[in-house]
Amino acid sequence: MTDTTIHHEHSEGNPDQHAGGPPSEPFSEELHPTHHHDHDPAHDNSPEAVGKEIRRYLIVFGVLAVLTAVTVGISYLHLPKWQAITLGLAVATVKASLVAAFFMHLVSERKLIYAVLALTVVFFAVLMWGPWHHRYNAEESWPGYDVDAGKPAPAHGSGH
Amino acid sequence: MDAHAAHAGHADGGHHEIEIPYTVHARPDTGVYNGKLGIWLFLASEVMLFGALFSTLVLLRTSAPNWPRGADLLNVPLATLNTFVLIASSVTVILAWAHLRLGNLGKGKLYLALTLLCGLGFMVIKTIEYTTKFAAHHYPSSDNFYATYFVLTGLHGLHVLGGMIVFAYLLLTADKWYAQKRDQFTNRVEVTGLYWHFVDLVWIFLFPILYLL
Repeated sequence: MTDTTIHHEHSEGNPDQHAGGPPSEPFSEELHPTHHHDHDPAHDNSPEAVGKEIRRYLIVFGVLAVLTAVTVGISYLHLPKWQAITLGLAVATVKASLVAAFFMHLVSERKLIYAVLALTVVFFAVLMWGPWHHRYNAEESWPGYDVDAGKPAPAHGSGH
Repeated sequence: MDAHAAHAGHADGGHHEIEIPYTVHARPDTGVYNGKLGIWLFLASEVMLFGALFSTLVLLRTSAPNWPRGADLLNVPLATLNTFVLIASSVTVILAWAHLRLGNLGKGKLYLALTLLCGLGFMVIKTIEYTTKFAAHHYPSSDNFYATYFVLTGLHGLHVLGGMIVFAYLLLTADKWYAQKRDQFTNRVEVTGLYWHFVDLVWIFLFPILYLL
């Protein structure tokens, strides 16, 4: 009888104790020994590497400043509307790419971040497709609707 | 990981701060620390927020028979100055992060302070612009041009303000954080920097679209 009881107690003994270990353990990042030294494996914190990075950031800063001047310069050329818009947006895109690639270090980022951004690009494209579609299909969608219908000039209040 | 976090929470009995996992090291499955994935997801949502407004602007502008040239109505030199200020602040925040990685808290704090100062400069210039517009009786309700101008620059300005609050917080708590959790603090500066660069990036598009084209 006694034997059975002991056996019973033993078999009911908490199996979690064997599997789980101390409660703080599963939480510890030390379980992943590959990441012991670098706080982020994507970055090298040696003075040489960081110094090189800093020089690169300053060069990008210089290029961004020049491109800003170029953008303003283009606007003084008084190009035809669509040329001005295309050129202006092209320069802005180059500037934005420099910021994203170097300041936001997208040149060397993890796959998951790229995946998130790829999805964002798709949804952003849908947002931009909206007005485009409206502009060229409004007459079909709403017969009689004229997107170029005369409105008072904005300066005199076109918002109503 | 979720199970672990919950487990740790129970073990603590809510008495202590529950430590957030992967604030420093990369999570093996995502390859990045949690804060970085978090900020990128947030920035993705920000792209949609600003994207919706850009889309609205395109719709209004392409549908309008007349749309003024921004340069005729807005102050281009002030906005150009603001562009330089914001780009400079993007550089200072990344220099702050670089110096923190090198173990130089003093320089890290200096560049954080410069970033905050740039943010303040941007807001002061923006306020001057807004004040002149209001004085000339140009309001968001004036017309579609001013409606989009005020909504887009206003939302962007709120983002600058939000960034400034975070930089002020980081500066005020830098000593404590750096002494106790240096790597986590450095990552916080990196993640705030990612947000700040995004705010810069939005301005890079807003400036030509609203002021120049």
